[in-house]
Amino acid sequence: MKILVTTSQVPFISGGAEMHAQELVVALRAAGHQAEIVAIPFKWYPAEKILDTMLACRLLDLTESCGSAIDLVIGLKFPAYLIPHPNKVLWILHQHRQAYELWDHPSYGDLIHAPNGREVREAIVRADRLLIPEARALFTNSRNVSGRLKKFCGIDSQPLYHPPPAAEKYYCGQGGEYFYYPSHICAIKRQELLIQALAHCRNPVQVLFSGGIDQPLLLEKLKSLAVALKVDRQIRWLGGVSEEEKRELYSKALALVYLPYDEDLGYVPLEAMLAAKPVITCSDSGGPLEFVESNQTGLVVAPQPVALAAALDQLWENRTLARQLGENGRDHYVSLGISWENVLARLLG
Amino acid sequence: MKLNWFSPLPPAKTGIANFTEHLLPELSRHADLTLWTEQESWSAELEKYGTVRRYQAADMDWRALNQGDATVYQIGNNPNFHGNIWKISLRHPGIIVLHEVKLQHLFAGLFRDQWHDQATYLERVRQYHGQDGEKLAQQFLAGQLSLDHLADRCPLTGLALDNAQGVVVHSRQASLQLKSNERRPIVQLPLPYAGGRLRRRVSHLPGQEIYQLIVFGHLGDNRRLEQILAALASFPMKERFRLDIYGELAFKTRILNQIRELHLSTLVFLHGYVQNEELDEALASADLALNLRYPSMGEASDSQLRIWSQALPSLVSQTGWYEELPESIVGFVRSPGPEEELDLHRHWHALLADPDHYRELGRRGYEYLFENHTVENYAQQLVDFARQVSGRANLASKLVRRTAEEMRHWDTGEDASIQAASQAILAIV
Repeated sequence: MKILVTTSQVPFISGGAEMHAQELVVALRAAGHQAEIVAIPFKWYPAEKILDTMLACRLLDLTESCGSAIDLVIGLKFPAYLIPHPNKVLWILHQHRQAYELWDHPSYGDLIHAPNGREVREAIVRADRLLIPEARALFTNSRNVSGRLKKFCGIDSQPLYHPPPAAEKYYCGQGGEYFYYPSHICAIKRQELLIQALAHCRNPVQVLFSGGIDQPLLLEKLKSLAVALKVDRQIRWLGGVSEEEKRELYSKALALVYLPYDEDLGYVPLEAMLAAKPVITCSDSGGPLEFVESNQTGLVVAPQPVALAAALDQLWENRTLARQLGENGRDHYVSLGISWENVLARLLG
Repeated sequence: MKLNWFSPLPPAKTGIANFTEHLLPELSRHADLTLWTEQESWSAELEKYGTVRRYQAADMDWRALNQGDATVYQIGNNPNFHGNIWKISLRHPGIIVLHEVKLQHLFAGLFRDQWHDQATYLERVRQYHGQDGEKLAQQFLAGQLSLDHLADRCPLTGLALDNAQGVVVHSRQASLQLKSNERRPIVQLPLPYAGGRLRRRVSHLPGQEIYQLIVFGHLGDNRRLEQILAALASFPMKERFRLDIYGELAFKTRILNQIRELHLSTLVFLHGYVQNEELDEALASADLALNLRYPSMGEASDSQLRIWSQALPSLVSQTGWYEELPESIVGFVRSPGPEEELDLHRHWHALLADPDHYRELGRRGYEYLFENHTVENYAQQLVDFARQVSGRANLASKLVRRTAEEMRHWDTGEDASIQAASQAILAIV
């Protein structure tokens, strides 16, 4: 089949969503299909621009290319999943979160600060409710995203997990002298929480941060915070690292720390399980909780520095526990049967 | 329902502040209210009915506004009270309550007097009233045409409604006028009144010698005060009348000079602005209110409701909202022109000859007020309207407009069909 994967992308920003689309195309091609990504550039400010892009998506015609029919469109992200096609399947990574669960969040709300934010929000919600059901099948990348779709739009969907990129290349190595937090530096990932927690640790816990910098001012703020709390010597800021470097960092970590607020899915827990490493996450982190079970495959704590510090100290002091939780995580991943074969069977079925 | 409410608030000297004050207790039974104001102080009583939030237009808390379910903006002609309310409404859609339909005083006050931006002002006039309107506005700016007459021909109402989800008016005339041009939902609600208690005492025994006339409010040119003074001066039995003037005079020196030149100093008394209690006492003691308006700005009159609340008979100009009133509750005066003085004299003769007739007008006005202008009805209907229109997406219209404007670039010049389609769309939205 000729298949187009439609997604939206903020120019110059690349992360899990982009990898997801790329891996899907790789899997489709490996299965013998012709597959391409159609990425719509996305700008969310001023707020009315969102509606411009929604309209632009609705005006696109992906039924044919050069006289050949496009057999299937798989929509991944808002507003690209609004692009019409007679044979459309959605595998939603997330809706426009600012119009839904983040609308009124005191720290992460953004659209609510626009003068016409409410109006734009209502238009987005109306469009989603009306147009998402155009698809012949609806999947999401996690139970969390399916839950939101049901809660806010009354639409049923099926969670469909997929392997993280280069899943087969993760491995478990020796080490255990640091906690590793791989993620873009942005507020919603809450690196700040980990820095605050270090100030409450009774052990000289070491932390490595890696990832692109979405918000440069935030990085400066985090570094200043670390200095102020006298924990800056316990932290190393690695910036962007290659995938190979990242896997090595996973392999040698004592545990992964992943503290986002209400994440859609999150590759880190999956990667950690593949590397047989435990994950410390928060009780409000969303997607990761679908894989991290406290005291089984990791530790789940309240999003408070003291609680997080206790978890860090626990694993720092009990390396045996850390190893066991990590091995449990790997076994759990295997038991889930996550594979691209399964994904394609569901999407194309 | 959470309702944002933009309005001048007491003790601001405007009838719209009084309107809000009267409405709030009942409105607060139907919605959780946030009252937005630029004022540094407000009547503490208001805080029983809602949360009062100060705002600065340049640094608006959009998050707080967006947390409401609907927003209501009071629009009147005073640029100091309504300029920033209008500016906020352009960015955050809501319901516009038009206290006046002809809004040139507001917009000329903003563009010409406050912002010194005549170019944009003329652009706006052209946008809503075409090249003919623009020419009239140019005459106004050159001092060749009065603002009142410009308002009559180019009311600029549409500019106040640019981002409105719905419109509330207080007169049938305003409703009909808007509906001919306006596709947004419009509702006409009788102006509510919940002011002072009836204080009128039976007075004026047979053989009464002196009759108290009263004029009150914000007294600009359109209140016909100069014409009233001239009519009083020429009335043969003027010594039987005393005229009390309450409120702020827009042209005090001119009025004082006129009173002196017409030798009315022993008959006419200026009281200035007084508190509501004192005004209600004055109304309760008066024999006839003179509530003339020409030109009318299309407003329903809070003043008239106050007059009726004291069962005071009144004379009104036969124009605008007043024209819709039954003859059984007001005496009409034809404004402007020579008939105006004739009608004033006619009524004054009639009052002297048959004061009971006018007392009956006042009594019927009182009944009319409480049958038609209740806050209960207004509050309920307003909230119902807000629920109905608050989800209306003005952005869709703007998007369609922008699309139509883009399409114009596709015209080759030889094929006018795209231009025509584009213009047709722009005419609709």
